[in-house]
Amino acid sequence: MNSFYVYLAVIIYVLLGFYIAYKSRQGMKQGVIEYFLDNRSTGGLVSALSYSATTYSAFMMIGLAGFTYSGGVGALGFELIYLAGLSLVAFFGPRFWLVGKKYGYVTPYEMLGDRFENKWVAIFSAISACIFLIPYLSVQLMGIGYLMNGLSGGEIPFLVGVLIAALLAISWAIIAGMRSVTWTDSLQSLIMIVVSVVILFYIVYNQLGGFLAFFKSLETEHANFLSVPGPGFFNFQAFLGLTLPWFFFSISNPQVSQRLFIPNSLKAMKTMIKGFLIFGLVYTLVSVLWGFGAKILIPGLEQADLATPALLGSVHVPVILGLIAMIGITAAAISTVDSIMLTLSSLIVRDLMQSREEYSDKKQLKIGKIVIFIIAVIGIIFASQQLDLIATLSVASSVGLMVVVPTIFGAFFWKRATAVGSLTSVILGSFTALYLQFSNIKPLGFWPGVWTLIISLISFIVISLFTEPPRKKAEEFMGYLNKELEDKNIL
Amino acid sequence: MDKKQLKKKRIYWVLWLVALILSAYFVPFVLLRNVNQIEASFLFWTIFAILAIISTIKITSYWSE
Repeated sequence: MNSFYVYLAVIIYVLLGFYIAYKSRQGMKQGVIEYFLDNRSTGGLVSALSYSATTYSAFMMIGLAGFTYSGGVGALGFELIYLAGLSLVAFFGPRFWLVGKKYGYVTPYEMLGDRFENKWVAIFSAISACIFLIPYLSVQLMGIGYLMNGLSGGEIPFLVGVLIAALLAISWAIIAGMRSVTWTDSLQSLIMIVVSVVILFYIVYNQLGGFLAFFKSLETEHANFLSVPGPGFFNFQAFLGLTLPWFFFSISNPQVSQRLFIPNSLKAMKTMIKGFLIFGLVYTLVSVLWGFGAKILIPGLEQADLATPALLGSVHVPVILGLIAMIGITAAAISTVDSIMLTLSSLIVRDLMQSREEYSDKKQLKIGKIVIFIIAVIGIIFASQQLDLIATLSVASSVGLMVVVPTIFGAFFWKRATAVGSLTSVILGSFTALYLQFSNIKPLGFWPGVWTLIISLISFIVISLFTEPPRKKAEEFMGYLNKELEDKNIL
Repeated sequence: MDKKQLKKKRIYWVLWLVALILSAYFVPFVLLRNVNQIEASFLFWTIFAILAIISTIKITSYWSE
């Protein structure tokens, strides 16, 4: 494909994104809550679209399609178990939202630090998030690099794609903070879903003879791809190891759990959850069917991550559709990256620096913007290493982020939970995740996610039982919540 | 809803969701193992997701401002 067209398509998308980002700035006031949380005033539809765009990244159309290409239908089960994990938001969402408003929390870790009356809980959770989210962010940048490189037949260097993605993410995060992020996310989510559905239908009806013939071909040509363990990748241990961290994604990943603070009402949060679930089901089915389509049309690729770029660049997809698809996937990646940058910036300003008391809002915002640049540079350096298999790295990040899950449960449901229990759980859990991930050890055949959760959970419970909880704060925090939950019929 | 009703509903929904999620592991890996048809695991996981979505929406429908 001629690289001129690739650049042209990118330019149109970029201009539209900048227009929306600048538009979102109108009427915006200065302040930390305004910048990082859109003043807790985001409407339901924008919350839903933005939540969808932030959650779903380049991983879907590249990594998940690649998983399907190499491992079969297990990829669908894996991603739909993640989607079912959103049921956690039906319980945690209103709880985050209520205490966020009452105590003025900007980040989820600020909430944990206050609940356990220990700033180190916030500091260590934030450090752990930085360690694990920067690789996740880099994986997104790599996705764009691979895609542009593949589609232009190698004319656009990998690093140029990475830099374009990073620059857009920085800009859209900085222009108006959460507001420019959610507005550009909304545009990007629409691009993602429309483009992926249109192209899937084109492939299915023009190249595969319709859905029935498509499924028939799968059953005859790749029958073992329709069950688990199937061709082998999705044995039970692998499946459990992949799904466990992703099931808790909605509360473990701060870039999405922070979104539980932004809806302007409970009604808006309901719309956010509903909209996201429908978006998620469609996008998951499309990504998996896309991977199956690639399996039939271009079998025999050695690297599964290349299934999507190879299919888009093949004779089966017209040039114009290939370009549009590239924009759709780029949008998916950038909408995730800018949200992560903004969230990490808020974690560093509020939790690591504990700047809530020491610095003015103006100073916090200035530091926050500088931090976004620093995070981007680290992300670019990591991406330029071009580590293999996007999906595996992305999942590794989710394993590490899972270490705060016991603490989050404890904060809302266990008065006996303590700060020392939380700190031990986060620190031991993080070391377990890092050690098992880097040494590639799978004790008893189970993946790092399983061991990380077991260790952080057990250490949280045991240490809490032997240390002193912040009784007064727990009573006040949970007492307030219980009263509100009862008033508002929240389960 | 009074406190007792709320607690009862909470327990009921949590149990249902746990059972539903366990089924997403048990059914494809045990009952549908090596059943190589689109009507097997593919269809099961899709129905599982639809049930999870309906359940989640139902739980949020109790909320009042």
